[in-house]
Amino acid sequence: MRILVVEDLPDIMELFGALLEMDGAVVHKASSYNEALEIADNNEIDIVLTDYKMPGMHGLYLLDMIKHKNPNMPVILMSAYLDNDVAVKARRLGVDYILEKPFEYEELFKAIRKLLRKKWRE
Amino acid sequence: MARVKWTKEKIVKRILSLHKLGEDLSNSNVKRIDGALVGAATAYFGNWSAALEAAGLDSAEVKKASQRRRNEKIKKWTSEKVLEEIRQKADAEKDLSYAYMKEKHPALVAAAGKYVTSWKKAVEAAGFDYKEVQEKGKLHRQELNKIWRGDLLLERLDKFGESPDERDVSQKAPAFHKLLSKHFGSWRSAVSALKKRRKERK
Repeated sequence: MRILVVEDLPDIMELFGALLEMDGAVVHKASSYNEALEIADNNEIDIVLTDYKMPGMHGLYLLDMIKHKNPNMPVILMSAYLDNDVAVKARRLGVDYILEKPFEYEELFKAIRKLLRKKWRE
Repeated sequence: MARVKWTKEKIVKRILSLHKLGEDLSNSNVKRIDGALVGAATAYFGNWSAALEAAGLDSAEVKKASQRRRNEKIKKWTSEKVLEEIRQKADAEKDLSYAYMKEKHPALVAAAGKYVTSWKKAVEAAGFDYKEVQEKGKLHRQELNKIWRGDLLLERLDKFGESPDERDVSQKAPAFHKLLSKHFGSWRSAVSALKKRRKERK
Protein backbone atom coordinates (compact mmCIF):
# COMPACT_ATOMS: atom_id res chain seq x y z
CA MET A 1 0.00 0.00 0.00
CA ARG A 2 1.16 3.49 -0.86
CA ILE A 3 0.26 6.14 1.67
CA LEU A 4 0.59 9.87 1.45
CA VAL A 5 1.08 11.28 4.95
CA VAL A 6 0.54 15.02 5.30
CA GLU A 7 1.70 16.40 8.63
CA ASP A 8 3.60 19.55 9.54
CA LEU A 9 5.07 18.30 12.83
CA PRO A 10 8.36 16.63 11.88
CA ASP A 11 8.46 14.30 14.90
CA ILE A 12 4.96 12.97 14.32
CA MET A 13 5.58 12.63 10.59
CA GLU A 14 8.81 10.69 11.20
CA LEU A 15 7.02 8.40 13.62
CA PHE A 16 4.05 7.68 11.34
CA GLY A 17 6.52 7.02 8.53
CA ALA A 18 8.41 4.45 10.63
CA LEU A 19 5.27 2.75 11.98
CA LEU A 20 3.55 2.49 8.62
CA GLU A 21 6.71 1.24 6.92
CA MET A 22 6.96 -1.47 9.58
CA ASP A 23 3.52 -2.56 8.46
CA GLY A 24 4.62 -2.77 4.85
CA ALA A 25 3.53 0.60 3.54
CA VAL A 26 5.39 2.78 1.09
CA VAL A 27 5.13 6.20 2.68
CA HIS A 28 5.21 9.50 0.82
CA LYS A 29 5.65 12.40 3.22
CA ALA A 30 4.50 15.98 2.76
CA SER A 31 4.82 18.75 5.29
CA SER A 32 2.55 21.20 3.47
CA TYR A 33 -0.58 20.97 1.37
CA ASN A 34 1.16 22.30 -1.70
CA GLU A 35 3.78 19.61 -1.38
CA ALA A 36 1.03 17.02 -0.85
CA LEU A 37 -0.83 18.09 -3.98
CA GLU A 38 2.34 17.83 -6.03
CA ILE A 39 3.10 14.36 -4.67
CA ALA A 40 -0.49 13.23 -5.27
CA ASP A 41 -0.28 14.54 -8.84
CA ASN A 42 2.96 12.76 -9.63
CA ASN A 43 2.80 9.45 -7.75
CA GLU A 44 0.60 6.41 -7.43
CA ILE A 45 -1.12 6.76 -4.05
CA ASP A 46 -3.63 4.36 -2.48
CA ILE A 47 -4.70 6.40 0.52
CA VAL A 48 -4.14 9.82 2.06
CA LEU A 49 -3.66 10.54 5.75
CA THR A 50 -3.73 14.25 6.43
CA ASP A 51 -3.68 16.60 9.36
CA TYR A 52 -6.52 19.11 9.39
CA LYS A 53 -4.52 22.06 10.56
CA MET A 54 -1.55 22.99 8.44
CA PRO A 55 0.16 26.36 8.27
CA GLY A 56 -0.74 28.56 5.37
CA MET A 57 -3.73 26.73 4.01
CA HIS A 58 -7.33 25.85 4.79
CA GLY A 59 -7.72 22.52 6.52
CA LEU A 60 -10.23 20.97 4.13
CA TYR A 61 -8.62 22.22 0.97
CA LEU A 62 -6.51 19.16 0.34
CA LEU A 63 -9.46 16.88 0.96
CA ASP A 64 -11.55 18.74 -1.60
CA MET A 65 -8.73 18.83 -4.17
CA ILE A 66 -8.05 15.15 -3.86
CA LYS A 67 -11.69 14.10 -3.92
CA HIS A 68 -12.30 16.37 -6.89
CA LYS A 69 -9.55 14.70 -8.86
CA ASN A 70 -10.10 11.19 -7.59
CA PRO A 71 -13.40 10.63 -5.78
CA ASN A 72 -12.43 7.05 -4.89
CA MET A 73 -9.24 8.02 -3.07
CA PRO A 74 -9.74 7.28 0.63
CA VAL A 75 -8.82 10.23 2.83
CA ILE A 76 -8.32 10.08 6.59
CA LEU A 77 -8.38 13.39 8.42
CA MET A 78 -6.55 13.86 11.74
CA SER A 79 -7.04 16.77 14.05
CA ALA A 80 -6.33 17.88 17.58
CA TYR A 81 -9.26 20.29 17.62
CA LEU A 82 -11.97 19.57 15.14
CA ASP A 83 -15.28 21.20 15.94
CA ASN A 84 -18.60 19.84 14.80
CA ASP A 85 -19.01 22.30 11.92
CA VAL A 86 -15.71 21.29 10.43
CA ALA A 87 -16.51 17.60 10.84
CA VAL A 88 -19.83 18.12 9.04
CA LYS A 89 -18.08 20.02 6.23
CA ALA A 90 -15.45 17.30 5.96
CA ARG A 91 -18.12 14.61 5.68
CA ARG A 92 -19.92 16.63 3.04
CA LEU A 93 -16.69 16.76 1.07
CA GLY A 94 -16.39 12.99 1.29
CA VAL A 95 -13.86 12.39 4.06
CA ASP A 96 -13.67 8.66 4.73
CA TYR A 97 -12.52 8.67 8.36
CA ILE A 98 -11.81 11.26 11.03
CA LEU A 99 -9.31 10.67 13.80
CA GLU A 100 -9.08 12.95 16.79
CA LYS A 101 -5.56 13.39 18.12
CA PRO A 102 -4.25 11.80 20.21
CA PHE A 103 -5.34 8.42 18.85
CA GLU A 104 -3.87 4.95 19.01
CA TYR A 105 -1.91 3.66 16.06
CA GLU A 106 -4.09 0.55 16.04
CA GLU A 107 -7.15 2.67 15.28
CA LEU A 108 -5.36 4.37 12.41
CA PHE A 109 -4.12 1.11 10.97
CA LYS A 110 -7.55 -0.54 11.24
CA ALA A 111 -9.08 2.42 9.41
CA ILE A 112 -6.45 2.21 6.66
CA ARG A 113 -7.02 -1.52 6.17
CA LYS A 114 -10.79 -1.14 6.17
CA LEU A 115 -10.74 1.69 3.63
CA LEU A 116 -8.27 -0.05 1.35
CA ARG A 117 -10.25 -3.30 1.42
CA LYS A 118 -13.32 -1.33 0.45
CA LYS A 119 -11.46 0.50 -2.31
CA TRP A 120 -9.90 -2.61 -3.77
CA ARG A 121 -13.21 -4.51 -3.72
CA GLU A 122 -14.90 -1.81 -5.80
CA MET B 1 9.89 20.89 -0.81
CA ALA B 2 7.96 20.31 -4.02
CA ARG B 3 7.17 23.46 -6.00
CA VAL B 4 3.65 23.98 -7.22
CA LYS B 5 3.41 24.17 -10.98
CA TRP B 6 0.73 26.82 -11.27
CA THR B 7 -1.58 27.12 -14.24
CA LYS B 8 -4.62 29.33 -14.72
CA GLU B 9 -6.77 26.21 -14.51
CA LYS B 10 -5.21 25.16 -11.20
CA ILE B 11 -5.76 28.62 -9.73
CA VAL B 12 -9.42 28.67 -10.80
CA LYS B 13 -9.92 25.16 -9.40
CA ARG B 14 -8.54 26.19 -6.02
CA ILE B 15 -10.70 29.32 -5.92
CA LEU B 16 -13.79 27.25 -6.66
CA SER B 17 -12.78 24.75 -4.00
CA LEU B 18 -12.58 27.51 -1.38
CA HIS B 19 -15.90 28.87 -2.65
CA LYS B 20 -17.45 25.44 -2.19
CA LEU B 21 -16.03 25.26 1.34
CA GLY B 22 -17.92 28.45 2.12
CA GLU B 23 -14.74 30.43 2.75
CA ASP B 24 -14.55 34.20 2.75
CA LEU B 25 -12.87 34.84 -0.62
CA SER B 26 -11.57 38.32 0.17
CA ASN B 27 -7.95 38.87 -0.73
CA SER B 28 -6.92 39.21 2.93
CA ASN B 29 -8.65 36.03 4.07
CA VAL B 30 -7.34 33.90 1.21
CA LYS B 31 -3.85 35.25 1.85
CA ARG B 32 -4.20 33.85 5.34
CA ILE B 33 -5.40 30.40 4.31
CA ASP B 34 -3.46 29.97 1.07
CA GLY B 35 -0.95 32.73 0.55
CA ALA B 36 0.60 31.00 -2.46
CA LEU B 37 -2.73 31.03 -4.29
CA VAL B 38 -3.11 34.81 -4.05
CA GLY B 39 0.47 35.25 -5.27
CA ALA B 40 -0.09 32.92 -8.22
CA ALA B 41 -3.44 34.55 -9.06
CA THR B 42 -1.78 37.96 -9.16
CA ALA B 43 0.98 36.63 -11.39
CA TYR B 44 -1.37 34.89 -13.82
CA PHE B 45 -4.42 37.18 -13.82
CA GLY B 46 -2.97 40.55 -12.83
CA ASN B 47 -4.88 40.82 -9.55
CA TRP B 48 -7.07 38.81 -7.18
CA SER B 49 -10.36 40.29 -8.44
CA ALA B 50 -9.55 39.27 -12.02
CA ALA B 51 -8.84 35.73 -10.83
CA LEU B 52 -12.21 35.65 -9.06
CA GLU B 53 -13.93 36.82 -12.24
CA ALA B 54 -12.09 34.14 -14.23
CA ALA B 55 -13.55 31.59 -11.82
CA GLY B 56 -17.02 32.92 -12.66
CA LEU B 57 -17.45 34.82 -9.38
CA ASP B 58 -18.55 38.41 -8.96
CA SER B 59 -15.61 40.13 -7.23
CA ALA B 60 -17.75 43.06 -6.01
CA GLU B 61 -20.19 40.61 -4.44
CA VAL B 62 -17.29 38.74 -2.83
CA LYS B 63 -16.15 41.98 -1.17
CA LYS B 64 -19.65 42.74 0.09
CA ALA B 65 -20.14 39.20 1.40
CA SER B 66 -16.82 39.41 3.21
CA GLN B 67 -17.84 42.63 4.93
CA ARG B 68 -21.25 41.19 5.86
CA ARG B 69 -19.57 38.11 7.31
CA ARG B 70 -17.18 40.19 9.42
CA ASN B 71 -20.03 42.32 10.75
CA GLU B 72 -22.13 39.26 11.55
CA LYS B 73 -19.30 37.57 13.42
CA ILE B 74 -18.74 40.42 15.82
CA LYS B 75 -22.09 42.09 16.27
CA LYS B 76 -23.08 40.41 19.55
CA TRP B 77 -19.80 41.30 21.27
CA THR B 78 -18.62 44.20 23.39
CA SER B 79 -15.12 44.79 24.73
CA GLU B 80 -16.30 43.74 28.23
CA LYS B 81 -17.75 40.52 26.86
CA VAL B 82 -14.50 39.79 25.05
CA LEU B 83 -12.43 40.19 28.23
CA GLU B 84 -14.87 38.18 30.28
CA GLU B 85 -14.83 35.38 27.73
CA ILE B 86 -11.01 35.37 27.67
CA ARG B 87 -10.89 34.99 31.45
CA GLN B 88 -13.35 32.11 31.27
CA LYS B 89 -11.37 30.45 28.51
CA ALA B 90 -8.20 30.84 30.54
CA ASP B 91 -9.73 28.52 33.13
CA ALA B 92 -11.04 26.00 30.63
CA GLU B 93 -8.24 25.95 28.03
CA LYS B 94 -4.58 25.49 28.69
CA ASP B 95 -3.64 27.41 25.59
CA LEU B 96 -4.61 31.06 24.99
CA SER B 97 -2.17 31.63 22.15
CA TYR B 98 -3.44 33.31 18.99
CA ALA B 99 -2.85 30.27 16.75
CA TYR B 100 -4.80 27.92 18.99
CA MET B 101 -7.64 30.29 19.84
CA LYS B 102 -8.08 31.40 16.25
CA GLU B 103 -8.71 27.79 15.38
CA LYS B 104 -10.81 26.90 18.37
CA HIS B 105 -12.74 30.14 18.99
CA PRO B 106 -12.55 32.24 15.82
CA ALA B 107 -15.50 34.48 16.72
CA LEU B 108 -13.87 35.50 19.99
CA VAL B 109 -10.58 36.29 18.27
CA ALA B 110 -12.37 38.31 15.59
CA ALA B 111 -14.30 40.23 18.25
CA ALA B 112 -11.07 40.91 20.14
CA GLY B 113 -9.62 42.39 16.94
CA LYS B 114 -12.65 44.63 16.46
CA TYR B 115 -13.30 45.78 20.04
CA VAL B 116 -9.86 45.66 21.67
CA THR B 117 -7.78 46.17 18.48
CA SER B 118 -5.89 42.84 18.65
CA TRP B 119 -5.88 39.44 20.33
CA LYS B 120 -2.64 40.29 22.14
CA LYS B 121 -4.07 43.50 23.57
CA ALA B 122 -7.28 41.74 24.58
CA VAL B 123 -5.38 39.01 26.42
CA GLU B 124 -3.30 41.66 28.20
CA ALA B 125 -6.38 43.71 29.07
CA ALA B 126 -7.90 40.55 30.56
CA GLY B 127 -4.95 40.49 32.96
CA PHE B 128 -2.50 38.05 31.34
CA ASP B 129 1.09 38.44 30.24
CA TYR B 130 0.97 37.70 26.51
CA LYS B 131 4.58 36.51 26.27
CA GLU B 132 3.86 34.05 29.03
CA VAL B 133 0.65 32.96 27.30
CA GLN B 134 2.51 32.26 24.07
CA GLU B 135 5.24 30.33 25.82
CA LYS B 136 2.74 28.34 27.86
CA GLY B 137 0.71 27.50 24.75
CA LYS B 138 3.79 26.35 22.87
CA LEU B 139 4.96 24.22 25.77
CA HIS B 140 1.49 22.76 26.19
CA ARG B 141 1.31 21.72 22.54
CA GLN B 142 4.85 20.34 22.61
CA GLU B 143 4.13 18.43 25.79
CA LEU B 144 0.93 16.91 24.41
CA ASN B 145 2.73 15.83 21.24
CA LYS B 146 5.60 14.38 23.22
CA ILE B 147 3.26 12.33 25.39
CA TRP B 148 1.40 11.12 22.32
CA ARG B 149 4.65 10.19 20.54
CA GLY B 150 5.71 8.16 23.55
CA ASP B 151 2.34 6.38 23.67
CA LEU B 152 2.50 5.50 19.97
CA LEU B 153 6.03 4.14 20.33
CA LEU B 154 5.14 2.00 23.34
CA GLU B 155 1.97 0.74 21.68
CA ARG B 156 4.11 -0.60 18.83
CA LEU B 157 6.91 -1.86 21.05
CA ASP B 158 4.32 -3.87 22.96
CA LYS B 159 3.81 -5.95 19.83
CA PHE B 160 7.36 -7.30 20.05
CA GLY B 161 6.33 -9.67 22.82
CA GLU B 162 6.50 -9.89 26.59
CA SER B 163 10.23 -9.04 26.79
CA PRO B 164 11.23 -7.19 23.62
CA ASP B 165 14.78 -7.95 22.49
CA GLU B 166 16.83 -4.92 21.42
CA ARG B 167 18.73 -6.78 18.72
CA ASP B 168 15.53 -8.19 17.29
CA VAL B 169 13.87 -4.76 17.15
CA SER B 170 16.91 -3.00 15.70
CA GLN B 171 17.25 -5.66 12.98
CA LYS B 172 13.58 -5.81 12.07
CA ALA B 173 12.85 -2.10 12.38
CA PRO B 174 15.98 0.07 12.58
CA ALA B 175 14.14 3.36 12.10
CA PHE B 176 11.70 2.48 14.88
CA HIS B 177 14.56 1.43 17.18
CA LYS B 178 16.26 4.75 16.54
CA LEU B 179 13.09 6.67 17.35
CA LEU B 180 12.61 4.72 20.57
CA SER B 181 16.12 5.51 21.76
CA LYS B 182 15.76 9.14 20.74
CA HIS B 183 12.47 9.57 22.56
CA PHE B 184 13.20 7.64 25.75
CA GLY B 185 16.93 8.29 25.92
CA SER B 186 17.90 4.62 25.82
CA TRP B 187 16.56 1.17 25.05
CA ARG B 188 16.44 0.35 28.75
CA SER B 189 14.29 3.41 29.52
CA ALA B 190 11.93 2.51 26.68
CA VAL B 191 11.47 -1.00 28.06
CA SER B 192 10.87 0.26 31.57
CA ALA B 193 8.30 2.77 30.22
CA LEU B 194 6.62 -0.15 28.45
CA LYS B 195 6.47 -2.15 31.69
CA LYS B 196 4.98 0.83 33.48
CA ARG B 197 2.40 1.24 30.73
CA ARG B 198 1.40 -2.41 30.94
CA LYS B 199 1.01 -2.15 34.69
CA GLU B 200 -1.16 0.95 34.38
CA ARG B 201 -3.35 -0.74 31.81
CA LYS B 202 -4.01 -3.83 33.91
